[in-house]
Amino acid sequence: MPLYECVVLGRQELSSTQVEALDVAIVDCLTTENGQVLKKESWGNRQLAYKINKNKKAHYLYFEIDAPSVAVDELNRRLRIHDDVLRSLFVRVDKFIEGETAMMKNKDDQSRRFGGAPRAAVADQGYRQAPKPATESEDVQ
Amino acid sequence: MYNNRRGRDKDKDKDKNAQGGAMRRSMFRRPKSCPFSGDNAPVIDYKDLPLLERYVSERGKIAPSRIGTVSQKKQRDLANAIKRARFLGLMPYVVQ
Repeated sequence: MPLYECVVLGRQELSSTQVEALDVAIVDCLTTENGQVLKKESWGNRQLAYKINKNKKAHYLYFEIDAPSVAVDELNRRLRIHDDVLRSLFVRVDKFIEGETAMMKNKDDQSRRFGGAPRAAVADQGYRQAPKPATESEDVQ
Repeated sequence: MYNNRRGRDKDKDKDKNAQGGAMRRSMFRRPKSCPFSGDNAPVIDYKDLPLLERYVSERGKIAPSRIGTVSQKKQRDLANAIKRARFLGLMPYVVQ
């Protein structure tokens, strides 16, 4: 069965029990259609980069799924109807990145990003400097 | 490249350097290499915000591949990842 990554945004007012209920509903929907949830993550109530349906924050839920496409279509249909869900994204992948996702690793420095404190001064032209491979740093000229 | 010249040309170069030395140096192109190609290159992922943020302008626009020295193939993946992150409200479409 194909593998999918799924991110669901829940409304900002949801209590933790409501978020849990949403989580259970999603897993149930998949398992009844012969799907399987391999990994779950909760990214918490995060600041949105822009308002979505008057929400400034959203509860982020992340799933790694192994399920037939029928199950994913059905889940997608239900999420669209669901009142507590702002948005959802399904991405089909060949394989999952091992370990916890980048979002969990970088959780601590969330506050400095968009909507938070002003960003640090940027290099000329307004673009951040691309990381240079260490080998060719000083030998030119 | 410039250092290989000899004799009179060298003197000429000196004169030029007096005026436009800084400009000349900046004209020199270092060999480009894609940060996402090669062995232990980072994986392009819409969840990896610190990584994506490096390839976005202050305004929130996706940087052209020549700025990030990203290969064409990887630039497409990168643009895709940034657009996914935008859809999920993780990154802005525009920064006012």
